[in-house]
Amino acid sequence: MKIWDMHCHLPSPQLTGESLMEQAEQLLEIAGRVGISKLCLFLEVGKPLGPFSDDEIVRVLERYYDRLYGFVWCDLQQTAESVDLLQKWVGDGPMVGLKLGGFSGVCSRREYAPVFEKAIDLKAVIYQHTWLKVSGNLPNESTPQDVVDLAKRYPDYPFICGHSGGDWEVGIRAVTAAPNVSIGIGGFYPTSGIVESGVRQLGAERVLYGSDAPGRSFSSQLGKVLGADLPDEHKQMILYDNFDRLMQPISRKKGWIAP
Amino acid sequence: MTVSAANVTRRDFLTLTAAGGLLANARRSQAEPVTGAESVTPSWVDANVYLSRWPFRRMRYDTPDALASMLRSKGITQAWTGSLDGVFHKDIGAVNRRLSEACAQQDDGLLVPFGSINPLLPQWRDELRLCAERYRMPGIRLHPSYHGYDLKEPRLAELLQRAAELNLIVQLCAWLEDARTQHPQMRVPDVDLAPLGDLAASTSGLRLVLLNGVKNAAGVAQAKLLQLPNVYCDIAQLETSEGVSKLLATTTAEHLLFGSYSPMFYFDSARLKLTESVLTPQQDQAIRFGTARSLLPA
Repeated sequence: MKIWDMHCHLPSPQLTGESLMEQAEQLLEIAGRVGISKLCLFLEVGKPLGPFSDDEIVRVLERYYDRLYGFVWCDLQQTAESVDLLQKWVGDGPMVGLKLGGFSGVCSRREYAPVFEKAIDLKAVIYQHTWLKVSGNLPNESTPQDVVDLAKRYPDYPFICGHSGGDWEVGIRAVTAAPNVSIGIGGFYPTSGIVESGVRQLGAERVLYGSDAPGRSFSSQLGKVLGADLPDEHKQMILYDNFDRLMQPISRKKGWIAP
Repeated sequence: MTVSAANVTRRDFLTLTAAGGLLANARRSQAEPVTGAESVTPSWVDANVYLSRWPFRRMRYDTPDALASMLRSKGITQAWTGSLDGVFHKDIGAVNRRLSEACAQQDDGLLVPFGSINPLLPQWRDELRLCAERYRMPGIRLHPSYHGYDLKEPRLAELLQRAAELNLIVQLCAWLEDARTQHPQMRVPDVDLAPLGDLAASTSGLRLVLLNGVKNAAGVAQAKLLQLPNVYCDIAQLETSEGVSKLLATTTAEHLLFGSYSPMFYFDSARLKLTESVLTPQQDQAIRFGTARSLLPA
């Protein structure tokens, strides 16, 4: 099967490479061992990346243009800055998507609309971290319900609900209310039944594989799909087809594929 | 994963070649994506398996026949099997009897019962003896946080010593579910493992296996524990990229066991970890079966 991982992080203390290029190559090599051919990197360019410069990020994405995608990690609370980052990295640069994390603001708040409207204008793929913690969410952390509220305002545009809400039995049910929301299945333990539940309630076309590596293991997350009680056709959709489909509009806009 | 025939016993070799596994492995390219059913390995012990039901969710493979069938299809030749009833039920005697009977119904000896002991319940010493002498179990499984005690509990020290004297392996389960996703009225903390090093070091003859106790290979407390000669762990909960390789930087393969935590976790999540890390054939075999065999009574 063809496998793309749409949820990875660089740089990371889990990797030994001293440069961003070395870390990227290390991550690609590890992913390749379990059959993953392309990685989507969430890159926190809005914050200091340690010793790594913007130029180095560009070099990594250009060197491995055929094996790496880059998402710009923004903070909704820095609304104007995020709009500028999207233009710089997606509109004018090599990146293809918007990543919003657990500290990045509650996505359903209407004052953050300029960021989403910029991303939509650029045809960026939008990934929103979500969790539903029984211990209580972070102050600026989004839930699946927040993604649904956001997605209903832009019903023709796709959104990815990251981590399936963590508490996936609740998260999956929440996003059934918005047909333009898919779930990312990475970044939590490989509890049996998550993928089958997603397919049963949302359809295989709304479930996407991503690992959250290198913090998470590629294997623990990939096992959720390969071990699921699903036909191979559905597994292929989750491992590759669905993310490839979400990539089509931005790929056309950038001229990487024919209009 | 390719299998080195040099370290395969004659019996293993015959089993393997009869299934066509060795030749299939020999032909397989390392570059081949690992996306299908894994080929047969000579012997493979899963040290972290449960029977019965999780109270908060039905799971595929939560019946003995279904679980055993799945494990066989993956190539598992022996599964150290506890009972989720042993986590939640108070009648531990009935739990262990049912576990023993359910495992015995698998004619090929695939499921090896590990009884539950709760040292806070009456008659636990008798139950421990039953596990060893009546049910002939090779070990027991403890769930301190779900049973409501910490590792400073004096009865735990006595339990470990008695288990060692009965030649029982002790599996101590540190975690069953992410604390963030637990039922709001059933929140159970992870086990604080800090006192375990002194306990393990001071208990003569103890063989202690930590289940679901190593999330991150960089954990300092676990690394210290695994440097003790009688402490071992499984890999079911292990995360991070190349987690097994990272864990091997803190201990040796002779302290690691393959554990899938089936059926709570997808079996393939643990299986693929052996491919994600670059292991020598010796390390791979130790984790798959060598360490487990070294722990079992002769």
